[in-house]
This record gives sequence, structure tokens and C-alpha cells, in this order.
Amino acid sequence: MNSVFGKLTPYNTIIHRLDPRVKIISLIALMVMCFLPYGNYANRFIILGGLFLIILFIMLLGRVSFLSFLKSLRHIWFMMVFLVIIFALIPQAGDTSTKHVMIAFENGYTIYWEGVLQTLHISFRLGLMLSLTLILTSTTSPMDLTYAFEWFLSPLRLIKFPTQIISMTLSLALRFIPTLLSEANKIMKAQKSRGVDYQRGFLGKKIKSVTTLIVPLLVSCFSRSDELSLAMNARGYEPYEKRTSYNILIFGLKDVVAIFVVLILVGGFSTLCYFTNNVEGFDDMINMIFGVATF
Amino acid sequence: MSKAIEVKNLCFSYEKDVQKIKNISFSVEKGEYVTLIGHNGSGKSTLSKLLCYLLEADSGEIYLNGIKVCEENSAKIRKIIGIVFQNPDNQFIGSTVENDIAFGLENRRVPREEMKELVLKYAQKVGMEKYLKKAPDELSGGQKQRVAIAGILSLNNEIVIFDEATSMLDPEGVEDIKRLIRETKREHPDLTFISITHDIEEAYMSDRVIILNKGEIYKDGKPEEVFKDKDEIRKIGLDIPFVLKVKNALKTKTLQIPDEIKNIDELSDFLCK
Repeated sequence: MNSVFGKLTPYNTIIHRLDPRVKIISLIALMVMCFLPYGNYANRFIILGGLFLIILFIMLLGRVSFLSFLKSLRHIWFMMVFLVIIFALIPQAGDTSTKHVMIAFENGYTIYWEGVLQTLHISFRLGLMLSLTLILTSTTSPMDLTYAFEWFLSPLRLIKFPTQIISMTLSLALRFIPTLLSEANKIMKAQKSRGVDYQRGFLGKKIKSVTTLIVPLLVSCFSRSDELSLAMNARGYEPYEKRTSYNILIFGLKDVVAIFVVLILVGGFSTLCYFTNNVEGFDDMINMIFGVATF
Repeated sequence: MSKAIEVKNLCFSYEKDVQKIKNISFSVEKGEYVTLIGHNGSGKSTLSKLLCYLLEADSGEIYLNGIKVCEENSAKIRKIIGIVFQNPDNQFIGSTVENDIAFGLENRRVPREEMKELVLKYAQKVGMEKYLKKAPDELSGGQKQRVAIAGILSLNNEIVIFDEATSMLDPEGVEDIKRLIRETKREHPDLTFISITHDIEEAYMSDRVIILNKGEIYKDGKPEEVFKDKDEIRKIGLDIPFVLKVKNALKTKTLQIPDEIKNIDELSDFLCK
């Protein structure tokens, strides 16, 4: 499962041990912090840089490898290219008198600093988001995520919504991902040995060759789910009955501390956001400290 | 002794006109170790599913410990009978070994503290206590099957069915599971144990063998009696145990081997004496 969002690392750090519910809430809170507008571009980069340092510290705590972060950045490069085209290269409409010219071509086509900075800014935000998600997924087992998910859904039980069925379905789906992947691999090898070519060919041909993979996989999927339901039934599973739970989420002192830290961060960054947008002269102050030009 | 299983005139068919189980009647005593053998498609697995109420019989009755197998009693039946299936992957429900062993206990609403003890106890019993936190894709087929057995044993059922539990394992895994069966049988003499198998050697070691052929009971009795007529057994596509073959061959050479000797190790020990 080596996807964009990494894989659970086998360590037992404090970040690994945190309650998954706390981790998810913190993730959302910090993501919001990435997306607050912090005044002009200079401020934005400085403040987001500070946030990045904090995230790096969390990554260090959770022993998330920086290399895997850089690797996951690979997956968003096409997005950055897209952003460059949108913001920098497409001629800006409307009032351009307040913008700063970066390069002006003779035929009247100009690239503005604002466009370039906007691209960098958004990419930076995306990178931060990616790093946060990476921390969550590489320190939390999918099962813990499922339990947290079930807990977040639990208010729905008041309206008789079967949350335990949803979480059972989810956990079974997660449980079978590796099994089905290895099965897909086997089928692919078997079909290759019978002369199916998955690499070459145009779209139509490729779709045709992929069906030779999908159809057997689906068939086995159905027979598996059939047997699985029998096995669950034989061990006395009744979806609508009450069950006790082997795994419980324990909300401990470290979780309280974590929430406290996140609250401080949220408070701090919200204040910064407020100051940069509403207090006159705050921008200039930062510029003075860091000695950067303002746009 | 009371009857653990009583089957009366059982009939079942998946499709119309194709009867899979044809009017079967038999009973099993409490604590008996029965092996059910037969050719592919003889109805062994169907019979096991009928016993666990995973399929509903067309006609006829099944009683487990005197309780009739039917819709109203399904919860009670689940507490009496447990089954281990063939495919180790498709009966691994939990995300880790401990979760899988706990699955049945969760369904029975066992409190968490008690559950923790039971999970550890039965994991130790099947020798999987070091793997409690492992996910199924990190385990071999034999290990997964041992987890499934722990899951069933932890429920403390009086009747346990192994539905070809060893047929997808490598030879080492098969030996492992067979050893586990013997140990469990020794520790729980009251456990009624039904093993559906292709392994004739295993059948020879059991208390009683039932041979199914085309949905009917072909032979039923002690292994020595059942395997006595080898031509009849061969006629329906089965073979007789290796140990028995050797015994029979030696008998013609006037060497008598005691009936207790049932596996190859014992036989070779005896012959080397």
C-alpha cells in the first residue's frame, strides 16, 4: 500500500501512541491553520514557514522520515505545474496597476510577481497539508482510524443509524486490501504468462487487457465475501445485536496535553491572522524584523 | 451417554432435482472423534454447513444436544457448534491475530477484561502468543488456520467441525494442525469433534469414520471395519490408509501387527523391534 499517504511505520513513539481521535481533530485544526490568510505574501511565507518548522518537529517526534515526505511531494508536482499555468502564465485580467511586473515582454505579455508568489504560496500550503496527512497515516494504524471514525459517527446512533455496521464494513475492507492486492498480483502474473500485455498498446487495447485482470478479481472477491459471511455467521455475528469491543480507545494525559498544544497553536496562528489583516502597521513591523520587501 | 448430534432423514438440494444430501440419518455420541471422508462433491461440506445452520435443510431434522436446528434456535446452536473452514484467508475477520480470536467473544458480549485473558490463553494454546499484534498478511496459511482454531476453541463449543481445515496448507502446516487436534482432544475429552478431510491417515486415527458417496452414507463404523474391504473403498475413488496396507501385506506373510498401531511412526517402531 505504498500510496501518496505513506504507510504505518513500526515504531512506538508518543505520536504513535496518541489517541487517533485526537490526531484526526488536530490534523483538521492544523490544516485550517495552513489555509488562513496571513496578510501580504512576505508575511504568509514567514508564518507558514514557522508552521512548517512546527510540523517538522512533530515529524521528528513521530519518526516520520523526511525522505518519505519528499517522495510524497512527487505526487503533487503536476498540480504545481497546473497552478503555474493558471496563475503566472495566463494574462491577468482587470486592474493590473497595483501589481508588480516581473518580466515584461515586448508584445505586451507580462508575468507578474503576484502570480508567481500565489503559485508558490498555494504549493506551500499543499505541501504542508501533505506533510500533516503523512504524519497521521504513518503513525496511526488503519484500524485505529476506523475506531476513531466509528466514535465520530456515534452521535448518529441517536437516530438509529447503524454505525457499528459501517465500521465493521470499513474494517473488513481495510483487512482485505493486502489480500486482494496480492491476489491481483498473482492474477496479473498468471495472465502475463498466458500472453496478456499490460504495458503496451493504446487505450482501447489497454482497457481490454485490464478486463482480464478485473473479471477474475471480481469473481474471487464475491466468493471470498461469501465465505467470509459464512465464517462470521458461524461465529455468531449478528449485525444489529450489541457486541462488546476488544479494542477500546483510551483518552489519557498525553492526549490532553496534545489537545492543549494544538489549542495554543490554533490560538497563536489565529491571532497572527487577525493582526496581519486588521492591525495597521503590523506588516511593516514584520518586514522590519525580517528585512523583506512587501508586495 | 447422550447424543451430541442426531440427524434424521436429512435431505438437501442446491438446485431443483439435484439432491446433494439424500435422506441421511446418523448420530454422534458426546466426545466422539468422527472423520467424514468422501470424494469431491460427495456432500461432506454441505452436511457440515447444514449442521451449523449455515444452510437450511429441505426436509429432515437435526438435533444438537437435543436442541432442534432451526431459525428460532440459531443463537443457541451457535453456542453449541463451531466450525473451522478450509480457506485460512477468508475466515480471518479481525485486523490482527488478537482481534480475530476476540471476534466470536465480542459477539457473545464477553466483558473486555475477561476477553483479554481468554485471547491470551487460547493464543498460547495454539502457539500464536508471539504474533498477537500481527496482521493476516504477515502470517503463513498454517498460522492463520491456528488463529482460526483458537477463535473457535475460545468459544468453548461442545461440538467443533473442521471442514477440510488442512487442505490448503503445506505439509508442515498440516502436521501442525493435526498435532493441535490430538492435543485438544486429549485436553477436552468431552469435545465432540468432526473432521471433514481427504486425509485417509487422519481418518484411520479417529474413533469413527463415515464415508459419504453421492450424498449418501456409504459406510459408517470404526476405521478398521470401514477400511476392511479395500476393493469396495477403491470402487468409490478412495484409498485405504498406508499403515493398513502394510499391515494387510504383512498379514499374508504371517506377521501380526496389533490394532492399536495407527500411524507410521508407531508402525516403524514396532517393525524395528
